[in-house]
Amino acid sequence: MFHDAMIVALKDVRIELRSKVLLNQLLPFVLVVLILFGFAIGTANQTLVQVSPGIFWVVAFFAAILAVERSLSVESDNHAKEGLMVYGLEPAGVFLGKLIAVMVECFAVEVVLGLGVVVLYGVKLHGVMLLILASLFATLGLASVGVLFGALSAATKVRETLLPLLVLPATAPVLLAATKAWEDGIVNHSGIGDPWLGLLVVFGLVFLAIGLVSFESVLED
Amino acid sequence: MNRSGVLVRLIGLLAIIGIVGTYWMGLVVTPPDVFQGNLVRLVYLHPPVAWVAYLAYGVTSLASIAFLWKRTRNLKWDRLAASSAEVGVLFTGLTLVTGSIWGRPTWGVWWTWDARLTTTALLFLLYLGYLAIRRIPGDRYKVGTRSAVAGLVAFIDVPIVHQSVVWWKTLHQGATVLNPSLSPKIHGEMAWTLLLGFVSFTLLYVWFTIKRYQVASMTDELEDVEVDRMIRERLESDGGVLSGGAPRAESNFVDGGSLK
Amino acid sequence: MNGYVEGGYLVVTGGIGGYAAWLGTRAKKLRRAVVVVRDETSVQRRSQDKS
Repeated sequence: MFHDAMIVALKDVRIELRSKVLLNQLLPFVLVVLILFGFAIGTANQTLVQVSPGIFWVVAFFAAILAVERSLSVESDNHAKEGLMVYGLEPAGVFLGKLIAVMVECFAVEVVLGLGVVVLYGVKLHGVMLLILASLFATLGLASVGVLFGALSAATKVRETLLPLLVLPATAPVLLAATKAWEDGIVNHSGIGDPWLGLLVVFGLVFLAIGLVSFESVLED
Repeated sequence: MNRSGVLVRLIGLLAIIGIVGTYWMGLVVTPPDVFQGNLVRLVYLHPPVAWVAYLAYGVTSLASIAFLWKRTRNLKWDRLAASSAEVGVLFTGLTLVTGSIWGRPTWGVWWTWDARLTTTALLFLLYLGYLAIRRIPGDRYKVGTRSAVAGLVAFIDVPIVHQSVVWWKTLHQGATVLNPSLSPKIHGEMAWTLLLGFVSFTLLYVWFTIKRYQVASMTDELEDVEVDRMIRERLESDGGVLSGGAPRAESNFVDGGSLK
Repeated sequence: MNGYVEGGYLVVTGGIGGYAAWLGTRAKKLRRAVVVVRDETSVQRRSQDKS
């Protein structure tokens, strides 16, 4: 399973490195959104600093949806998915591989977003360990649900619009918990004992497990 | 009409009588509440409707599990899950609207970010997504598998959503019926009205789900026959190789017949 | 009473009434279609049996 996962993940990351969609489109997009939020909310009175965890995660969520969407269109173009299955890769491995690739892309986005928040909004990062762990598990949960629902909706032409409707309500707890964990880290200087981190860990592991178990029946079609 | 048809009719009739009875008790017979005044009359409606929504999602989840489990895999379960979810979405919508209407005069706002309210709103969206997944075309078993996985995800997600929102914020009044310490608040004909509401809306749920299930299986049957006829017409126009179409029609009818 | 109560009862009645009406018409249409199709198929099948 891990071997298959590495094959799929490396393939996806390599596609990404060669096509440079992430670098040329997704990263500029998130920076534009950060600037737009600056315009929309205004730069007075530390408001931006207070709402920065929320902005960070909302933008990260939308970027993740785009990353999942991209990771799926790579498979559905030219029937590449059938190719994967013909190679005899384990479904759980395919899931894990796609998941890892999406997570890598999300982390790249989150690093840029984090830098953007620090530079543009003047946020001072505290509780860095909590921030990193929260991001890790939030991304795990988000990407698990994203890849799973993405595969479920792969057979439709309206996937681009359907995917956010499916993923965003299901991952609402992740958005909530990740934002709160970041607030606790930045504003309250909390450590890694934060209860919101616990929720993120549970969510991430639960949906990782669901994806691993159910991907076989999802991939059948 | 066969016996099960009579039973379905009876359930429908009882549901309608029960709901009319609930309306009458709720609007005419019961007195206004000491604290809430006439607004208490909405309380005869809102909890039963909400209960039906949760019941419907419970049935959808169980049916999804039954469909996913290979030994019990049968399109019946898929249809039941679909029918129940659709009724559930209707009742979740009604729950949100009646709750909002009650909240406006009581709390002064149409919407408050309380745990149960927010969870219910997310539930509504989750199952709207479930119904959207159901509409993705494909082979019936594929659609069933996809939907069952989505239904299962929703089912596991709901407690996590609820817990996260509870931690986030809470100001809803405690569960009135389930909480024994608060039970003296409701008594006499008020309690009977609420009970009648629960029973009749549950009956309505059963009736709706059965009806929706019948519509789903008739649609499937019609599709089968339609596809079959197209194949036969195609074969006929290609040179009259009729024997190719007939066995298919046979097998489809056996399939269609076993659904009732 | 106070507008809110009537509104709530109306919304619920409208919701379940609308759904019931939709189900009813849909079931009626389908039932008619199924009967027609079944007749046609049985006629066809009988003619096939003869030939």
